[in-house]
Amino acid sequence: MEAGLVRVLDTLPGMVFSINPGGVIDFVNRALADYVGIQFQSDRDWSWPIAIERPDGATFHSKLRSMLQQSQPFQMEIPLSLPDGVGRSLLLRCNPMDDGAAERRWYGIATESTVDSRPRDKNDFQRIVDSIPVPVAVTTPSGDVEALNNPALEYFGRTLEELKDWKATEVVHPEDLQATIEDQLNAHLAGTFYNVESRHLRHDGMYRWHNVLGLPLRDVNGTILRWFHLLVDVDDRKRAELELAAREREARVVLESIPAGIGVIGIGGEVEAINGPLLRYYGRTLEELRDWGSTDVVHPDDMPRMIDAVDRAVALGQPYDLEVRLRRADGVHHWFQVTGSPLIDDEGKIVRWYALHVDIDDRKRAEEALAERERESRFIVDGIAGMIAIFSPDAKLVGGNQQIIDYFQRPIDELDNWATNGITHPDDLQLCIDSFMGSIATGEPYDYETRFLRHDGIWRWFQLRGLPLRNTDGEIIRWYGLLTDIDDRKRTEEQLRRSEAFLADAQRLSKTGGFSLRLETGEIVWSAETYRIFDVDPSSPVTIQTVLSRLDPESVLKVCNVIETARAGNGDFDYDIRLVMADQSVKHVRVLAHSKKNKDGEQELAGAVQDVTERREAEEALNKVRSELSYVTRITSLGLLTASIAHEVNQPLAGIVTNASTCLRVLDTEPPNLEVARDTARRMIRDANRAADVIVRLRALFSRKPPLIEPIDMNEVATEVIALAFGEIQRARVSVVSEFGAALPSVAGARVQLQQVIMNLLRNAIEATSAVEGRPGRIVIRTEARDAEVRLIIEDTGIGFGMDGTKRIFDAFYTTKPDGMGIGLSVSRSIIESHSGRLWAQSNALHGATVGFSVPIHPPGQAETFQTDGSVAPR
Amino acid sequence: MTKRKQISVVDDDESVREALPDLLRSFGFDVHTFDSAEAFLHAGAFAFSDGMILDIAMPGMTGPELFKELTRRGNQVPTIFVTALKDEILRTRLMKDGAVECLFKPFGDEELQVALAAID
Repeated sequence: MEAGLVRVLDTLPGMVFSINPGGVIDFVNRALADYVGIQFQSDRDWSWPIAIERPDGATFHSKLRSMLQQSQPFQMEIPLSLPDGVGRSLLLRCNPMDDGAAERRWYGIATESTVDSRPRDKNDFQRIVDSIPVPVAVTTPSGDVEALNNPALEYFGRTLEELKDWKATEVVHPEDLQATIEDQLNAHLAGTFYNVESRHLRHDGMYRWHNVLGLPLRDVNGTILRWFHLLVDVDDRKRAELELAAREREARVVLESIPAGIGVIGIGGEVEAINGPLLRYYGRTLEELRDWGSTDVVHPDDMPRMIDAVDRAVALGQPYDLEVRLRRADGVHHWFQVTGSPLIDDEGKIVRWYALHVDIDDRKRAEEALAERERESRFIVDGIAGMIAIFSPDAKLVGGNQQIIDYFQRPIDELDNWATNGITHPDDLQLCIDSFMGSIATGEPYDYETRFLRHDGIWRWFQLRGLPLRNTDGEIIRWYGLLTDIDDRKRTEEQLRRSEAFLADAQRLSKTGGFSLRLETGEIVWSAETYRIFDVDPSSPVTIQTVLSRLDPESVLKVCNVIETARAGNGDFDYDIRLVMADQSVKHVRVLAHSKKNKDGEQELAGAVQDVTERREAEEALNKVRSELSYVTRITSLGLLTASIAHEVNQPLAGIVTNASTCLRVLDTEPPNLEVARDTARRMIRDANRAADVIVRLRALFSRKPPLIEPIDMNEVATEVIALAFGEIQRARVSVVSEFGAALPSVAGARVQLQQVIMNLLRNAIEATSAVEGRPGRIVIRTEARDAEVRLIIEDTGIGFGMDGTKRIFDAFYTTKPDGMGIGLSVSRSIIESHSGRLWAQSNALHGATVGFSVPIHPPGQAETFQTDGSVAPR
Repeated sequence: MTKRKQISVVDDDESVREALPDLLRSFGFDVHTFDSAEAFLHAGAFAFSDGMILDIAMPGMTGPELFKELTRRGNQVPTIFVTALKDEILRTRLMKDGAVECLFKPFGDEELQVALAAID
């Protein structure tokens, strides 16, 4: 401190000091140093020598320091413990000085307290009041100020006299004055305490809020002697309150002005408030909306969710967020996003809920439109006749359309394991892995075929084609795979391949080849078998010259004619050609073909060639065998018939001889018996004719002339045969019964041939019957007309055909007879078939067999033609 | 005068039954004709027949069967078999069985007369 200033201060008739906020006194003037009896040195810390033996002495230092931490001027009284041992007190008045320095400094004046600081009189109001550290005013029962304590005087910075007239000055804030006066007046009248908040003017011209507490002091009789008024500084709290109120007001304005609905809900779920926009939206009052759950403000479809969300939020303390439709005042529903958040206090307890209602109708509609578009795309994707699989760039299946799910009936994440979960056919698996992973690695599209297991256990073929989807940087972001069911096509292919194989086999086996000839270009296509038939190397091209070079001269002409005709127009061809092979062997080939315009509009001759060489040779061999057989049969029959023929001829011959002998004898008698002679002569003529008839028939049987087709009475022929077979019948000891139909129409046939057939069948029956012992042999020959044919049926009780005889009896050389040749039935059948009839045989249910044949009846009116026309060669 | 011998002719062939009786009567026999073996048996003709000309092949009972039947009954009638079927084996067997003769049709009147002589 400046020496000049120090001299001034030392000269002052008062005690002055300076003190820093830490309570260290760094300067005292001489007057103060003298008073406390010290030699003050400014470079040594010094503090007040407090009389700590006093009850409150220990608190003075901390009280002083706390005051020094403030920025307000203060005064306080301190008890001192001085060397003279006399208890004294100093009243310190301190003012801060802010000089821009980092540390505030305080300057103070100390005055010697006029009274002893130690309490002496308990009724001393002033001492008590002064000890109260807040401003206190003491008034008379009528309200006049009587005393003020030091803090009060300090606060107001005025004298007692000035403050007695507080109602006329602005000590109390004018806005609060009226209320304060009234409250005090009422309190004074009632005699009870009062409590009012009002602003009071501080010495520096600032109004500060105080809570003013008024207490009456009564004497022993209860009469009010004085009023104590305590002014507790509540300015900070009051200002905070006011500020809060202002903020709330502001918040309210905000709430009311923001374009969103706000609802305030109590912790029990009750509606506490709803902001204007929301009320206006609903067109209802808060009261109407308190029981919102039973109104229609929330769309009926959404109400349960809404109630549930709020209930859960209130019960569990969890925020909620949902989208619901709310009914506007005009009845239109809009989509809102309702977000409920709890307001939580410092202790973490929920105080209330705020529900924010944001109109998202536009967004929602946009979303719906988008969803609709997505649905449409989905619909398209699902409508694609194929399965779609979507893969991530690292080959993970991330999606698929409905078809793929329907096909496998497994979820997508399960289908992702296609390589291991058995849905891919084991035989195709390696191909699938190689193809698919290969594409994933290279980014090239894939296209392969595999079988997939349908949910019902059926494998079906699919074609798998995949393309990568790239972003603008060219990186693959997705793989799209299309799985097309090609099972039917695959099967068709397989069937086609198989049927082609079949066809080739069939062609080879049947020795039939196909060919086509484009008549305009001369282009020839042959099947493999055609190459084989023509003995041409399949790799060499075929020309018309190739074909013609293989043919014999006659066939060359034939083929050239056919080609010319085919060129002229459509037509069918059926002709035989002969091929002369390299080794000079001859092939017989039958050609069936037709010419027509093909689908390209060109005239084309197409058809089949069949190697019939073997068949032709077989037919020739068979014909030869058959004619030989026929002859053998005839000879055999002849031999066997000889006996019958002899019998038949010998009978009339015997008659003739006997009659001739008789004739001679009766003529030799005397007189000659002419009557008997004449009888015998007549009988001889008759018998001779009978013999002649037999000879005629015999000659026909042996004749090599083609048989005569004529109208024939089947009964007559059968009778003749029975007669011819008579001897055999006798010997075999069988009975033959004829059951001939009456008035049968004639059939067209060769008499001798039919006789031969009947004889054959009858002899078979006789032999089969006679071979059986133990039951009477019986043969029934029946004739009948049915439809346009006449049937002859021979039924016997013989040995039958045996197990499989019925199938084989018509085979040449099949016989049940120990000495038979087995050619009878097959020849018989060929005879009947040459009559356009048929011959059949079957085993009887009980014994033996039934054999029969039918021959068409002779057409009436054609009899004349047949007779005059003569013979018709059988086929 | 001695009683004329009775010859029975059994044959299903009408021309035989017509021709033979005239010839046999010219030989001096009385003749009865039967068209079947059954008819002969039915008439009990074996009782009055001194001889029999018997056809071999007949519907029903054949000549050899009738012959055998009569032998079985002890009613043997000297029998000359006649047949249109020349079967030497059958003839030998019949002769062995006791037939007087077996003639093959057609046969001459001398042959018949020789055979009939054996009946006497």
